[in-house]
Amino acid sequence: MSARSKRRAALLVVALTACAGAVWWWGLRTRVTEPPRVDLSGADPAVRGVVDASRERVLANPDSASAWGELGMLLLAHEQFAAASTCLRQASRLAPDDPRWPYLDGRALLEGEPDATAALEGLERATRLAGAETSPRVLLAETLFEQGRLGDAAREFRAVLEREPQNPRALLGLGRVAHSLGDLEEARVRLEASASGAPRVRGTHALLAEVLFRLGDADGAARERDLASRLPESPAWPDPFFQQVLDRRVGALADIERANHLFHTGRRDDAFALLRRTLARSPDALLARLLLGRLLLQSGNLDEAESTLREAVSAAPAAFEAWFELGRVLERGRKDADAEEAFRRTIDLRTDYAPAHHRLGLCLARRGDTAGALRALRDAVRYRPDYAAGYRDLGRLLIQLGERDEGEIHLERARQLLAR
Amino acid sequence: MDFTSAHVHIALTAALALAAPPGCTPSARDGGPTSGPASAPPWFADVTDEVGLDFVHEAGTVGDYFMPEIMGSGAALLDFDGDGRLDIYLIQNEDAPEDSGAARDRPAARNRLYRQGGDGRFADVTDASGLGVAGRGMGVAVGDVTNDGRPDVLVTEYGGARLFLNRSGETFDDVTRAAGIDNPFWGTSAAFFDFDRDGWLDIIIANYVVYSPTRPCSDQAGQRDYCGPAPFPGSAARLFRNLGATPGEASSVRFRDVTVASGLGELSGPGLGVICADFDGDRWPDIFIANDGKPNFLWINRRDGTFAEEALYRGVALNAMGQAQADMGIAIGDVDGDALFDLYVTHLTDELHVLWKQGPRGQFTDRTAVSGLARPSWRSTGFGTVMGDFDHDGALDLAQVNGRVKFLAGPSPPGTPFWNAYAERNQLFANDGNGVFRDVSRANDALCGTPAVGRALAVGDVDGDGALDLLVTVVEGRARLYRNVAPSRGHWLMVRAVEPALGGRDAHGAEITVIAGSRRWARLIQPAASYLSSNDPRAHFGLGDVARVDRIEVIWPDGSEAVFPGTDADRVVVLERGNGGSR
Repeated sequence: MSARSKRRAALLVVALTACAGAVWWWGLRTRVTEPPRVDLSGADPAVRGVVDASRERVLANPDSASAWGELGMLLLAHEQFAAASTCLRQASRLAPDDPRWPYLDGRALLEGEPDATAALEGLERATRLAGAETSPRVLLAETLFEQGRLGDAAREFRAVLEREPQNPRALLGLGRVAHSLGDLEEARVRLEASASGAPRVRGTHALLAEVLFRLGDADGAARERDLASRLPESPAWPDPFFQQVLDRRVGALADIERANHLFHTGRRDDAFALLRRTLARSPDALLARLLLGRLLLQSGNLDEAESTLREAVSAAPAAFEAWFELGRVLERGRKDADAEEAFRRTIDLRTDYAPAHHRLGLCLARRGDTAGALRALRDAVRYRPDYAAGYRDLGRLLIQLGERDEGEIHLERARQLLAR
Repeated sequence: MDFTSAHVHIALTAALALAAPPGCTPSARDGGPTSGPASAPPWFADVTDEVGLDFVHEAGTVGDYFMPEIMGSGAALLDFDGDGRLDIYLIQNEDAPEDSGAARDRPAARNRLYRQGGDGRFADVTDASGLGVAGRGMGVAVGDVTNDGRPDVLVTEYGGARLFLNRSGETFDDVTRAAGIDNPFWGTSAAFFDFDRDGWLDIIIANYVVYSPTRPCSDQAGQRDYCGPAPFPGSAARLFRNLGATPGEASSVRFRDVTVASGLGELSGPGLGVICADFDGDRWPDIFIANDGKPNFLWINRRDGTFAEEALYRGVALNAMGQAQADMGIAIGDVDGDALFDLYVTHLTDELHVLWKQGPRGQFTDRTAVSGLARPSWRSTGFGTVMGDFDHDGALDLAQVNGRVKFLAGPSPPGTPFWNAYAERNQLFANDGNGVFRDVSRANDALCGTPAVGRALAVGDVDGDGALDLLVTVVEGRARLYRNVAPSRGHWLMVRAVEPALGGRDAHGAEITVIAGSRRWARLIQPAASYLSSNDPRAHFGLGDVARVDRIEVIWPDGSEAVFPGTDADRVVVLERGNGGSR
């Protein structure tokens, strides 16, 4: 090969490399030019509406990280994980210093068909960008732990504790690492520290129960198990990034969750208004109607509760829950004959629904049909043998009827079940 | 190629590699570090057509998202006629025409019984068997409740359970009511075991939830889909104590519901899987129940007819993250050779299937990740699962069948089959001998290559060649039999443990340990495992290069021990209680 040919070949290589670099940079910068299409034809119209509108904003502003991020958050909020990940990654490319996008992308990648390896990349990046905000690092540590990388997980949990020495989630994580490594004493210390900072996290008490059991502290183990059994299932750790996703949920399902929350935080009128708006928009939303009836009953508005639930049984006559809720309202309104009928309808539809037998038994007892009441209460505990209230009322009725010995047995069983 | 073109080729290769956008490199989703090569010889071949198994599962009329139809139904490998060959019983799950919203010009599909002939083919003998019942069938368990040496059958249903007595090795009678079996719940997996060690097999039925068909469920976007268990109250498992039968009068067998008296009634759960074994080492059988979305139960036998729930203390209630996950099918076996039984439980696609290793005795720890099971080739919703040494290398491997219960991003598009949105591929994991697994699904196209809505999985040596075969059911599809064709298999031993004093029935609950030199392999005699399934009641041992074992130790269900002399490998041995040396 001549010197000239060699020069030409070298130039060609340089040119091709430069082209490839340009192509790569271009791919990195604008790999996704159009937001992904998701088929939401069967979805709640409210969800479809916000997603479509957000998609339009992305099409109008394809270089806007916030537009892509907003669409990503909406898709993540409504469980369109793969599409959400695409959008959040694009947002991250356009705004590489914003920790939200790689973090939420990591969250999306841990859902649906999880890809922990890819999720870890996003979480590591978010951790680097997040500064004082520790949520990304804690989730990174938990994901590493779940993947069996105990040393890496422990390092990240400790890094959280350097910023926040009492962070209960990181202490719990270190407790889990110690437990996995068989260091039960270290696990106990970490878990107790976590429980003192966040006493209502079920997982902490559950693991502590096991650790204490293995350490031979039977009383302590029983105490922790009882605590765990009384706590709700999952801890709602503060997560400012993901809260933005949750806040974007729309549609009947989101309305129901929101109304429930409003009611139980004292904003009853707001809850009722929200449910009525939902029903005006989606008259077939049985769950919204049932919740409205139940909340009206809880707030003592029996007339409106009854009319709401009568609408529910009229719209869905095969829904045993609707008949049962109606029975409860009628019972509270001292309409025992009507309540009895509602409970019987419930049982016709769902024979093994123990609460209906229980309430029917109480109705019948008030109406003087003690034989029928006994039958119904016996059925209640037969169908649900862990039904403390059923045993209690069966025991009381038996004692009223002079069957003290059997009655006491049932009362004792009720006490045992309540003590669990 | 001259120098110039070679340079250009290298440059182009480099350029193309550089130009590949980030994210196009293989990730765990495409085959993580625990994946095996796709080119390795497969372990299983689909022989469904070859053996004449023509069962097609019917799920009824779809479109109303009636929850029982997504849960599938079961399969049993049993030798009902006592000819030494495994037969097959398969369960249907179809609503009656009058309960169906759509018109249908045929009656509801019936459960089917297939007898294996000497040529290895299966003949449908349902009509004369008495087992051809229709209904919303779920699970099946097999055990001899009358101690007459013939296996009886329990079928669980959405809203019931039926007990069939094996009359003559040819026909079965439904004795449910007369025997005192009353389970008006959504029954799922069930097992026969002798919890009070009186010599009569008792029955445990896991029950699921008090389901409301009118309750609509959807994803967060509002797209209608099948419900999960969360909105519904769970049901308690039911325990039926076998009061015995008069000799020669099988139909006199009676059961008493001891759910409340035993303590099992104290807790309700959405139970899907059940396995009975001695977990705490006191030689009394305990009960592990896999709950869907709630903490699991481990009922420890208190030896007085009652049980104490200790799953939390013993590490099997929750996963390593402290979460109650969707626990479904259960596989049991000693994956790491420490002679302690470990548990593998299948879960949803966005969860991990969990391996709880036992040690010390009675304590379990979630070892999923360190066992190589946290990064499979693909994620899945697992149901039926079994442990078996498929390649006879001396270590228990794992098989599981998969199929979603919720669609990933929406229902099947119009014009495509409804069930496509739920179909997933099965999975197979090879054990390296130390309890660490490698995903070999890609090399097993027959078993793992085609997406379907897999549910039950039963394991047994169907063709009598000493290797474990697999029987799989799918929702709205054909049941399939997979023959073990693993090449270069090592030695093996198949052990049947029977109790001559109890009619020669299988010794449910016996623990068999095969010893060769310093090596020990432990197995449990208990056909009820996996999901809705009943397996070969014999214990199978892969022995690797061990051509002869030194001795076989047995712990019988009543807690007594026996030692049987060594034997050459590659055979079936029958251990009869009373004929081995005591320890």
